[in-house]
Amino acid sequence: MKKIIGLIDYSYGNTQSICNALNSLKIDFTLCSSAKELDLCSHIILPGVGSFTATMESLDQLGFLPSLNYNVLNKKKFFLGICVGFQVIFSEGREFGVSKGLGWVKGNCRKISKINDKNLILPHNGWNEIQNYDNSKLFYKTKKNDSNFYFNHSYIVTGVKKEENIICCHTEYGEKFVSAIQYENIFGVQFHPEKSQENGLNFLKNFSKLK
Amino acid sequence: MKHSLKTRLIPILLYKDGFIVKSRQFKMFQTVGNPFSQVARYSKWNLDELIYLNISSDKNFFQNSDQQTTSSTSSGLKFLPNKKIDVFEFVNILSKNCFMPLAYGGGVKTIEMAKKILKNGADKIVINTAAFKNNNFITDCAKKFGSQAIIVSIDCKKILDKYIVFVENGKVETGVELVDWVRDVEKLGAGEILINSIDKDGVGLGFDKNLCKLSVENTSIPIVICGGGGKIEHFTDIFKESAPHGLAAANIFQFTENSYQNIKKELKKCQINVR
Repeated sequence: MKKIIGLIDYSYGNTQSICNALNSLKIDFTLCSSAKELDLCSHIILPGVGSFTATMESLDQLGFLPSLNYNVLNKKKFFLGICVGFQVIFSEGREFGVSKGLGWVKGNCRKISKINDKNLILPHNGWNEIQNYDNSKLFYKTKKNDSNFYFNHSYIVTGVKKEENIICCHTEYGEKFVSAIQYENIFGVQFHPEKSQENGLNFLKNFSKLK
Repeated sequence: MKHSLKTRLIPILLYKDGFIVKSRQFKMFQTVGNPFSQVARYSKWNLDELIYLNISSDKNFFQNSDQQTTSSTSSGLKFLPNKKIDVFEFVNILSKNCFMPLAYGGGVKTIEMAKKILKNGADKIVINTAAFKNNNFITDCAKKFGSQAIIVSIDCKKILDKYIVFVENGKVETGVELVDWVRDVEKLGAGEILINSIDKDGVGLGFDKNLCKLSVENTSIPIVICGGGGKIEHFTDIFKESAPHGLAAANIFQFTENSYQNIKKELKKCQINVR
């Protein structure tokens, strides 16, 4: 199969920014507004800005769910979820009540706790560091003295089992949370690589090179 | 006084009638370049963020009035032919070279307009006069796009020891005190506040420390301070009194060689938490 990234295009997400980043890296991609287009892609990116529930509803309404499951779980295509696109790969989200996620990885999604810092500003919006990212090949080239990525979220992923060895790195904001995971062919990041300057562009380049 | 988020250093580009301009106290304007070449230059600087503000009287259209510029650059950023384009197409072009947060402001008056600007690649909108005239606009935008996408910009001037808010590109005095407006803006749902000192604008004699302190102390949302940053030491001096979440400036980045990286180095030396 020809190497081409399918960028899921639905009403949520900052698709334009990801297109800009991929274009500047000269990475082949196609905007997928319907499920069957995913079958033609070797890699899949699911962007996301917005809520967990709205993202899942939108994916469902546009008929993406069976195709995502088939391409990622059966065909083992490389998948990257960004921000809310990362959160929905887990079992459930607790944003407005409980809603079901794609459930590919065990864990759930809840709001960042203010227990340690009552004045903590939410959303967590700005540059922050990722810690202990050495083991993941997607962070190849991320500098030791500058592991900053751009974050923009109020919810985090919790309940990921450490012993399953899927956590790539953590970030601290009010509390320590999982900022990237890798589970077989499934990758997910809480930050926005498309807005993280050189670190982010390197990350996307590394993802596109997976085979 | 340390935030767990990085303190940002943010260049501002001021667009006026076809050119990037340097402004002084919101009154005098000097042309410094064409609307796109500065962005191309900045795109190589690994910026934390970029704020692009349109201060033309007609804010609906953009053009490149700089006749000396050729149609393309080595950076790969395509310049436009000398024709008018609308704000949405303009933001779309800007965003193609911005792999960091991009904020756009100038004449953003409606939810529909804000939505199209964000959809075309901006991450934040900057609102000023429209927010002051219609306070609900802040709340409506925050509900629709999230507070992190809303920067309320406040222009103020010191009058008899009080900081007074001005609107309409600094032309109209409102009589409202800065502190009152800052508190309101937070309650209305803004994600952060950009404070511009009209007195210090373009003078290059340092930021207004009192203004910064006053703003930071009266709100819990991020404050970005602008106006007066003319020398590297101005950027570190301000932290002796208060800790803004961001420092913004325009002229120094255009006229002082390597200023962006050098200011970052100096901030790091002073233990300010920067990227």
